[in-house]
Amino acid sequence: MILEAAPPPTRRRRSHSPIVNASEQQPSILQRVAEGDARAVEECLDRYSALVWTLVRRQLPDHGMAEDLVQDVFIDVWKSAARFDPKISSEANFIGVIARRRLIDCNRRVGRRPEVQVIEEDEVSTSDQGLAAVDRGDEARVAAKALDKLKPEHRKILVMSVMHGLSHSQIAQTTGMPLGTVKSHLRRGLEKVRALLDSSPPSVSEVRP
Amino acid sequence: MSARPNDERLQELLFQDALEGLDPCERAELDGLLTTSGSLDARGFDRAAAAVHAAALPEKLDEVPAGLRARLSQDAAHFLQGEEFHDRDVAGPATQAQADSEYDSDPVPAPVTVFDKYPRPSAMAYLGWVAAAALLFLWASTWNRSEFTSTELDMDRASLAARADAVVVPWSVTDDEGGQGTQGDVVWSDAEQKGYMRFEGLRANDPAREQYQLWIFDAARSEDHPVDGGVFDVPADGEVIVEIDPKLGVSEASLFAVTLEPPGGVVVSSRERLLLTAAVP
Repeated sequence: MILEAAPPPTRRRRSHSPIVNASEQQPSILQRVAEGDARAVEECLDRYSALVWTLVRRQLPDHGMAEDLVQDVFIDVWKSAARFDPKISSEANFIGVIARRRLIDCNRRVGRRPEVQVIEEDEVSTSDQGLAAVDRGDEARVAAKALDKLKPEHRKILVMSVMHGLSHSQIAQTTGMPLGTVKSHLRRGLEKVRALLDSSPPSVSEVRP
Repeated sequence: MSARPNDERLQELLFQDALEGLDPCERAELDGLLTTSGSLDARGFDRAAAAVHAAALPEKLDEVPAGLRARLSQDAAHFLQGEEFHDRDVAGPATQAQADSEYDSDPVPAPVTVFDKYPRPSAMAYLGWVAAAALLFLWASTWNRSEFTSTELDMDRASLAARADAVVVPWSVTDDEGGQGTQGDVVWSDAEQKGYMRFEGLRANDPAREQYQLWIFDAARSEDHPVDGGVFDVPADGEVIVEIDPKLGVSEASLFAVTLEPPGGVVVSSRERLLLTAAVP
């Protein structure tokens, strides 16, 4: 049964240690969720439910609809947990992407956008001190730095789009900017954040419970 | 160097998708462009938008209503018990955009695998894996493609195999009697993080007693820690296509191995029943 053939010369010799699923070494909460760990599910809710709730509530004024959507978000999280890769994103960012997909989908199905709101500058708190208070992922800190470097008007429209879910047209109407200018500012702003994220992968400590 | 027109359009659609979503026509256009885009990070804008969103939230997050928190726990408990969930229809039927999202769930929720811990295998047992790696180079596969029933899964597999970045590697059998006579192949795309296994002649298993499990060796990880590729069953007719279900991201798949394990699969494989391997050239 046991063959003693030498390992192929092009392959590294395996050490005599157990073959363990890679996620077993330092499993994150989501990796444990994917393995059916009930405690990890509760830890996930403890750590990220407020983030998701706040994120959803800012765009959906209907309390009941917001609660339903948060439930849908976390069901998606459980189903998608096995796809989480700590080398690509933090858990907070992974969950944030899922929540945003649900929000965007909901807004499109409802066929309307949230009420246009004038956002004051002091509404956008991106200080490191504030962000450190809760687990929002390393990406949020990177994004905060990127936002700080944007011109105030560019930062304002990016927040109007991302956080408040306003359409490009609504932003153009609200700010008086031409639609094309709104789109180009939004894209440049998001590309700056994306470039910073690509050069700043999530830290190992963030993904570990 | 300026971007090609298709690249620019692709980036425009990805940007729009991340902020506003896409209508069905735009979704179809994006899907088409992604098919020919090779290894592209299609979710970069999504991650950036989520990061901005998290950064822009108020310093003090809203408190989750107690009733909602309780329902979230109940949902989770039901999910862990394997119950299926359907959309709550918050605002009408789900859109294609939602169904196509990389992060959205599969149409049918995958069963949550409960992994059993097993004692550390003996040192001799490790040699089985070493032997398996060696066998990859000893087995000259002359597998001829068989005619399989044309199914949606088969078409998905064929579609993936047609991608320039996909690899198609035949199974090689080991000396374990369980895999003898098996033919088939693995189709895998690192870029898509997706793949299919095709088997013909692999004996049917009794899921109550034992299940097959796939392991994916990643060149970017230690060879002692392959990625769990999912547990699967083979029906009575022995001809089956199985979608690979990697539990972690795979950077560069180098070897696929199928073992026979207790029901539900394992985290630590004893490797006593290594049946098939497929090495990426």
